[in-house]
Amino acid sequence: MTDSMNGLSDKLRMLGVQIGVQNLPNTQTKPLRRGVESIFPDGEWINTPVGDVFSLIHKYPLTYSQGISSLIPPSHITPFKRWMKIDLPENQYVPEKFLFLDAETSGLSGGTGTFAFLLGLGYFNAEEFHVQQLFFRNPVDEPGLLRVMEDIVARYETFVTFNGKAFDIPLLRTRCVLNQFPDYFVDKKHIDLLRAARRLWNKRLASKSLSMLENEILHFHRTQDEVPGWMVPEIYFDYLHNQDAQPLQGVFYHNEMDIVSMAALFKLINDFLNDPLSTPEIPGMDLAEAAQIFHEINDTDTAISLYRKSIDQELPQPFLIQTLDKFARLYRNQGEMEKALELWKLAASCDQINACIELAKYHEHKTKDISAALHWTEQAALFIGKPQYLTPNPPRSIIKKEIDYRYNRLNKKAGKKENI
Amino acid sequence: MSVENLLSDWKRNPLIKDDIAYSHDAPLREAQYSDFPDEIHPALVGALHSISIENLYSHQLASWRFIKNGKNVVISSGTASGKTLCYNLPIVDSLLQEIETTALYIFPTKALAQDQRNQMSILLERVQKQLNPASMQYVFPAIYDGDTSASARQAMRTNNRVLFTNPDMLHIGILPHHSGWNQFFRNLKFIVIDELHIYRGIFGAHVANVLRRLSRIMDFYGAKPQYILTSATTANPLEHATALCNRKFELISEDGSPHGKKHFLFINPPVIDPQLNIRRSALHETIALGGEILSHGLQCVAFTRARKTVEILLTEMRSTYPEFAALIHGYRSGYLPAERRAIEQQLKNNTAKFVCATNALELGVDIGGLDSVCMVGYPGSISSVRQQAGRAGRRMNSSLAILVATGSPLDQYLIRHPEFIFEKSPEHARIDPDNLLILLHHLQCAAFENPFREGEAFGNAPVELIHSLLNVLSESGVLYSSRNRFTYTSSQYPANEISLRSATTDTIVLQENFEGQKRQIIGTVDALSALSMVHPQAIYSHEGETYQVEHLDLDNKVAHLNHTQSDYYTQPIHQMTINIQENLKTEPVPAGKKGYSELVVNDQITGYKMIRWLSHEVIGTNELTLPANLLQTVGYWVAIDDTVVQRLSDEGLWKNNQNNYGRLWDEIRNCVRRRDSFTCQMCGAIESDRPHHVHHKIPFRNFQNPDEANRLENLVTLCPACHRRAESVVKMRSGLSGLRYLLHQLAPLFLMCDISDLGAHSDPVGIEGPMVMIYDQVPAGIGLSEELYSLHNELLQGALELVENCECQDGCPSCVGPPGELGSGGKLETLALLKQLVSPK
Repeated sequence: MTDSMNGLSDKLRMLGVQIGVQNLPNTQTKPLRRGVESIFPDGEWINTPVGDVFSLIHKYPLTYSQGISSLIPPSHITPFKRWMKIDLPENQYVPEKFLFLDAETSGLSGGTGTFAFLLGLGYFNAEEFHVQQLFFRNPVDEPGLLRVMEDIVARYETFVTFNGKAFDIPLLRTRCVLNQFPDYFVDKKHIDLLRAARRLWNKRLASKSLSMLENEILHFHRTQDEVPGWMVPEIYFDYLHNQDAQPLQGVFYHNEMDIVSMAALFKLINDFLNDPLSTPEIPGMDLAEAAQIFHEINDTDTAISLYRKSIDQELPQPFLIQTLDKFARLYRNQGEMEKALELWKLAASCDQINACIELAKYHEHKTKDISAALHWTEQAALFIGKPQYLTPNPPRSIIKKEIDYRYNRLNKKAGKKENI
Repeated sequence: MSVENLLSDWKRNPLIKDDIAYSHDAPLREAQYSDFPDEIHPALVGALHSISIENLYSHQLASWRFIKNGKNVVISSGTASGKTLCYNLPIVDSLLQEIETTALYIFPTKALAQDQRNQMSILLERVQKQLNPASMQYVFPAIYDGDTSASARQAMRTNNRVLFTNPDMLHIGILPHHSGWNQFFRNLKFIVIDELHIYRGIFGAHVANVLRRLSRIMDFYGAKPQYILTSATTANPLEHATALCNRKFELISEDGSPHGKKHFLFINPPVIDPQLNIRRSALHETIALGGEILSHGLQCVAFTRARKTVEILLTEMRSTYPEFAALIHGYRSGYLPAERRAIEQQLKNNTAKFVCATNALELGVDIGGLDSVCMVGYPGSISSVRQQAGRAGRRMNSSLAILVATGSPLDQYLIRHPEFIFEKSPEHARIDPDNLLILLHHLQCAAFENPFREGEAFGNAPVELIHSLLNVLSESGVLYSSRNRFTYTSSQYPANEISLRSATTDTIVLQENFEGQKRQIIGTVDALSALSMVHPQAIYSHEGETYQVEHLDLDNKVAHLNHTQSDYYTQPIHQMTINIQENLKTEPVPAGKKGYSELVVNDQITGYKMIRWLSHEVIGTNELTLPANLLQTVGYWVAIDDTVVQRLSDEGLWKNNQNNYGRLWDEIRNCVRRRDSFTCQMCGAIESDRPHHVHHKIPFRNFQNPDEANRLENLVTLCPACHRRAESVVKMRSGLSGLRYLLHQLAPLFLMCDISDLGAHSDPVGIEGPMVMIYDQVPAGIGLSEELYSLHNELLQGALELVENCECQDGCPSCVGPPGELGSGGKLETLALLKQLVSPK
């Protein structure tokens, strides 16, 4: 530090400024200690005119198991495609055109100052699944990484990511703009597995993070090499300053596992959706969520079978009630009123206000049994008074109004009947 | 009933006419029209015709010409002069002629941005109607601020050609994500910045740096937009614009818009306590005038400085004039937006007759023209006076603007200088964008937005300074320096670290202790003022409630308070020392030297006084042990030459006319001389032919009652020579004190700042001699005291004039400060000093 800079630093300190990390080691004099090529001897340097990129490829046989799932691509993805509304033409599912992607970045808040220093790319190649990792040792080399990536991406049509819609892809597109590259993501399709996970395991899992899914769904646990995501930026900054690539091992492992788990999850989800009734050991809640998915894509037969299978298992409250209700509505929409009623009665016995109201309606309008209708209306009124009643929507006051209105009307009708 | 009727009534009314300190009439002004320029797009002409605009005002045409010639423009015509069309016309024309062009509008508040966006929408709709529908994509002007929803933001980035925003949003939302706006920025041709005069002081320094960052982004996308600024009148609009945007500007100051006859009155409330020279409060004077205005059926907005005063005035007006109560309203921030919109409407359609408002009503929002405006005390800057007065004014009819003075020295000075308002404003708007702290933060934000190259400039900041700061940032790991490039390498989002309105990030949170219940956060206080406002045992007021500070936790930045009903308030006792670190500029001046220096203000709070609310008597003091508040900043000082000090004391220029020290003085005097063995307590000389003098250590006039002043501990025997010397020290201290008070009170007039932005200190034994210092209350300074250094002559001249013209006997709050308090000045001493300091004309 020059004199003037010393003076400046002192001045800043006196003004109470605290910036960054104090007492960083002076890097000017220390020689390169351990470069990435010594930590990852299987990798190679790709030198482009705009920057140097380190490339490391891991090859997995398709039969490799990440927990309970192998990497053999699913035979088709038709229900998944229809559910997620992915615009892939019917008979054009080619696993070799899919690219799994995950980026390790210098920060988690996005914006133009966040860059991706390590890119994990997963793709099917002959009878293997390859994880290719691209890395730069100096931010100045970023254009090199983008160039290499551009060539790779050109071979694929569909990206698969985990939270890539919100994070990875916008970030990479930003990096393209900032480095004056064309946006080569613009015509590609995108499957975000987080979106699928949020639907399928909505109620069952508290967190739908990739590590939670790995543990709970894939039943896979990472080794000691793993570093948590939040530590990644600091590890890279340390590397920049002391040029010791050893700690990067954890980051590379983390990234590699992310890609492999994504491929495994992709397979697991699709295998399940392709044959939901035969897949063994699926928890009841997952069956119920799947039922709703099949209902949405108009495969009502499968939906019904799945609902039935799910309620035969131990479902927790209030999930059970909600499932019974959804199942009942499905039957009603199909015109199968008897079956719907059965379910509503079952739900009513567990305090389901909606069920009571449906039953009241049925008796008022179909069987014309006013006293039965009144009975169910009273049940509904009873339940709504209870504090443990859970209504996400509509709010309690509206339902109460509806119940009161129904009750008064039925009373009048009953009165009339008696007079007759 | 008209304004003229009101005025002639007042000029005849014995209760009011003597309070009129000054009156000024501006005659009815016809519009100066020009034809539409030939090259203007026909659809635009058609649109204007459809809202009954048949031609342009002269300044609107002047603006068009400059802008079409590629110039940057500052427009400082008055309020309600049709400034909006000065920029909207050329911009909309360009939007029509070039299909890709985009424009960015920056307003200081969300309300203003909304108002302007709506005006633009109306214009664009009308233009659209004039066009063949197939020929133009509808241009939808969008607002991007904190209230914009996430989905709307997404759409805005790709589709919009006109964007309305504010500096905070630019800083935190747009610039750090500029890549998402790349189409918009690539085609950016115009940047409109409204209300330039607001961007001064700390806020101005921040915004100047945000604009430097914007400029860098423009360079990155290859855009070269024109800047169009509007401003209220100041002494230096061109200089100010250049300081903010780092570009050359053309100035349009003429105003071709018409207005009816304008009357202006300065009202100085009468003196109600001649001994203390205390005047009737401006508030009560306003209430009296307000009643008159209402009974003449005229509309009025009364501007006050503080939000609290709005409420007090509102309540008092309604209870004094119950027959008009329904027509009297309030308006300030803190009211819901819906309430504010309602009152704006009512003002426009004349159903609200009297509105008590803060300067929230000063800025641009359309309320139509008013019959009258009344300013309760000087609003703090001359441009505010003009803006607020500018709210009064109708096309054809007469209007009235009234300035009611308070007793403060500034107000009293100003009403004697109407030329400051009607002719040349003395106000210089200053921005110092190179304040170290502020610059450092924005450099980090800039590096986040785009890496820095070696040797790259940042606006017009000194290149070596930028270079040094970048290196400091690299050393601390925030930036990574390699191959001439500085890359941002931190996982933090830098724009979150600073607010554009403060110099530091430190605030102390005020938490109320509530037995058993969740702790409530009452508010915050910035770290610099924390020790003085919320020291342990301090009584703190907030929104009408009082609290006592139980514990001040500086490490965790929390103050714990208990709700209390106390009959007293507290005032900290400061012990201040100032150390000059480096003299940046010095120069000799008459009677001494002036300087501008880096200094450290060491403010130690040693205790506090407890003062009863109503009677203001001190009921006790307590000691405190607190860390010193260290403020590293810059200051302007004046030091008095030794020769002058000598001359003042030798020639007895400080005549002490006080001969009456109460009854029993002779006995007391003899008693003291006997106690001291008839020996001078300073030089040891024994009385010979004449009796020695007896000197009051704390001057007699500083006491309320003679017995207190004449206590034996306060008296000491001195020989005549030592007595004269001692008196001169006392007088010097007294004169310096008065000078300090005066300069502190007057400085804001010249600087366009608030008095709290400046600190003041006097020291009879300073390093350069007896001196008075005025310093920036912002770490590393913000340009205020530097400006004072160059305004030294005007400042002292103003001070001298003020004291000479004050009618008080021996000092009062309107000139050198209230008497009876330790450390306040005497009028005579201050006057003597000033006469020496002011250069003879």
